[in-house]
Amino acid sequence: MQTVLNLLEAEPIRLFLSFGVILFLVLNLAAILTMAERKASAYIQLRYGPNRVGPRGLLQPAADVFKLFTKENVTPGRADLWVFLGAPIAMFIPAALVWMVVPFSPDAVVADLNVGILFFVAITSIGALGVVMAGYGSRSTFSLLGALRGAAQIISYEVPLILSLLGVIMLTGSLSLVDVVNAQGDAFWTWYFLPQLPMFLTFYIAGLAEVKRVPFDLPEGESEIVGGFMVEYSGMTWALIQAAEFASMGLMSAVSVTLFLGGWQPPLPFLDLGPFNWVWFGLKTSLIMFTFQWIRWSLPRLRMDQLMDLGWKVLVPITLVWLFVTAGAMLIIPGN
Amino acid sequence: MPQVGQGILKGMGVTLRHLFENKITRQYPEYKRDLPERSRGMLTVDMDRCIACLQCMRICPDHCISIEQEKRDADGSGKAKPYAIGFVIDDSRCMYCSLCVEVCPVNCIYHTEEFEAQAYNRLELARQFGERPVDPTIDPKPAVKKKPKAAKTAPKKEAAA
Amino acid sequence: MLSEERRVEQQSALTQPAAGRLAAPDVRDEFGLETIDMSMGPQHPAMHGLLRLILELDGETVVRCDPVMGYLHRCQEKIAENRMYPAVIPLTDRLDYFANMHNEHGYVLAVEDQLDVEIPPRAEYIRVLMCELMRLASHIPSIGFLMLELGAFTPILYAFRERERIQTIFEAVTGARMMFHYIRIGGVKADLPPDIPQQIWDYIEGLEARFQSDFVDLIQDNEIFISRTRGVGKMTGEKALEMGLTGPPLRCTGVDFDIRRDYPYSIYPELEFDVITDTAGDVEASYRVRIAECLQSIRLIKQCLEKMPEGAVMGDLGRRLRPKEGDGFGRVESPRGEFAVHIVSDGSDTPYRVHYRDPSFCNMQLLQEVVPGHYLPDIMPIMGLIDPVSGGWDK
Repeated sequence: MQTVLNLLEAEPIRLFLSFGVILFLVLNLAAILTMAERKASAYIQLRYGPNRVGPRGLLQPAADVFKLFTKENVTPGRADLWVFLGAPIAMFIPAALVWMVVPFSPDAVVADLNVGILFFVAITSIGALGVVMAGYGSRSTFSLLGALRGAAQIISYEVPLILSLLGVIMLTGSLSLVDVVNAQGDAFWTWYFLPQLPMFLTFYIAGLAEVKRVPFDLPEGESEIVGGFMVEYSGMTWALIQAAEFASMGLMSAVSVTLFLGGWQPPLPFLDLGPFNWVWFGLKTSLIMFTFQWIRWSLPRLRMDQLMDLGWKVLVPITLVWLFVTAGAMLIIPGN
Repeated sequence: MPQVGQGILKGMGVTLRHLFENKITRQYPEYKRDLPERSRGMLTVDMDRCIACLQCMRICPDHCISIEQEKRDADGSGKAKPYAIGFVIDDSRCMYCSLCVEVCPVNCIYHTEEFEAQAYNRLELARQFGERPVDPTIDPKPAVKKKPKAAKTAPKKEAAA
Repeated sequence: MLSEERRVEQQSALTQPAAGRLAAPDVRDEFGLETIDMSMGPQHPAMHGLLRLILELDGETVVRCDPVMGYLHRCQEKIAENRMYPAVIPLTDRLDYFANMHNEHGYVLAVEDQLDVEIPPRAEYIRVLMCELMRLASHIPSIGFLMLELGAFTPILYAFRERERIQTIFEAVTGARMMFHYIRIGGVKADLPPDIPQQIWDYIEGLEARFQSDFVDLIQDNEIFISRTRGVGKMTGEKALEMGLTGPPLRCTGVDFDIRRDYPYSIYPELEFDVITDTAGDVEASYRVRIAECLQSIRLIKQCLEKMPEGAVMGDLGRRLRPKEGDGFGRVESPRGEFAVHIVSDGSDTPYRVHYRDPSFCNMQLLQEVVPGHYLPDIMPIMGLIDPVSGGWDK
């Protein structure tokens, strides 16, 4: 018995088990987010949303998952099978992997990498590969268009995404996400979103674009190219792509909360819950996810060239300017 | 080049306000709304009043009414009058135009408030009202070939040309 | 191996456009690039029905756009030749199924053109009231569809809330929510139920309160909407007239033409309303024209309710409806443009020939002329400019 516990303490086993827990969490998050999305959209549109399955419709994700398990995975006849079937995997794994560096609570983080932010940036870039694999491997014109748009959009919006993080890194002096959370105090006026407001908004908008949500959902483009890069997927492969999308939406919310909104820090010092601070983390992440959904159901989508204009001509200059402002403020204001 | 500004925030304010308003969906099987009195649901026939004049069969544009007529002394008056021994209304064809309701001289065919016409077999949608079942698959009014009237108008066109 | 190759070849053959006139020749420009041929096929969630667009794309830019129609063709003009004149009215309901009253009205005007019947004034007022309510019920969802195709999923639900309420009013008056069969030759089928005018007043007042927030505030100043629709589908008035457009697509280019005022029918001469034009000629202009026309319809409805006289609702037609030999023509201003009906009679119970001039069909010319040069995502707002209905273009 003691040897088993000692074995469990070993670092590789701990990592393995923790990643299992993270995977469980992420998949459940994806399922619950489908439900939350449908309920939020329904309430905005003055209707009820799913309310038949289970009490108030709460078992709807279970019914959806069951249905998708039993559905046929239709593959187009001339699709390149390795690329086609590898794409959902290539989209899901990065979205799930980055959750390892997100701190949920003062002592609950799977891997406290001292290059956490770099890890986040690097691994989410792999998602672009998944989009192109999906679109190109389907060998269909709609998918190809969706893949091209997706690739262009994702790699162009990585630039403002990364630039907007530089201010936070300068203020913290470290790339580790745990350090960033610790450096933000436990009162909401000390969090980084106030001194870094343009960076926060840029990160948010670039995060929307990375996750391919409205107003940036042109790769998926439901009205013109009906599903874009994922039009040829059905059944479990499609479910995995959707799970990847929701998982990365949750990830963007979690990372923006960690970097700009204080992570697990309570908004006021007396509301500190000690080891239960993951409640604050959860609440803040849910709030950001709700704003993602609110924006989705309110705004139309941008066209490709307008999207690119926004990314390169508006967001990048804002981040560069604010970077210099931050650097100047750090030099001028002592002890910042 | 779009810039985030007041228009977007105004729109988002509208949707946020709607988030907290009452829902307008009516949950159908539990709530059935009161239909107005003129609503046109499925047809029904009061066979006691039907005099088998065949007007509804003739006017129906979709050929969904089939009547089999017989001379019978139904009310004991000693005279054999037309009697509808078979009357079928095919719901799979009916388009609820109410032409048959309007032409019926004795007001025996009328719309009910029922609209849930569903069946597992298409032939079940043909409702029989008479004693003898009528085959709904036989078209009661096959298309009649019209005489070509081109001869009358063609000389006029040539005169005009 | 051989069968595999042949299978792939067969499949590629199926996805090529039809050979002949529509096949794109293999042109490569000086960089060795060629265009993509794509069919935005009949099964598409945003095609306003069943429309196939054969597109030739140069990257994201559309080089050629050919609409292929006919997927909903129901031979209505031929079927009408076998039906008696009153029995054709349910058919006309099903043409442009978002503007049923106008279709019925157009057909009935064509038949009354050949007869000598006096239509009572109350019937005329009721016809105009129903037609203007129908115009509201058509313009509001068309704005919703424009937004749906741009990617905003919410305005269409607000739009259908309005349409549902109007359909409930229609159900109380005519008996059906969509296929009314109400406007008859010589008048209307039955008088309005006694509580309907009050219901319509209450609804209109509620609509005015909601209209500003749900359809104007949400959309008009939205920067994304403006950037997607301003300058897209821009046409001049001359080009619009050349293409034979009518209705909001024509009026949004600045041409001042409205059948209710220029070729008046029914009691429109006695009612006051403005003809809305806009000079920009793009999708945003068509949106503004439709919003303003909704407000004008509200004004017309109020006037109808106030001025409606008492009296009969059906003229005296005689026993059998047999127009003399000859032609009858009727035209109305439907929400999509000019809807006209031409009937040729041969003296019998059934018409000899019925021809519908449907605005959706004629306005589709826009797609072939205006779309080339725009981006692929611009096709959807341009269809929102035309606002076609597939029952209209296919009959």
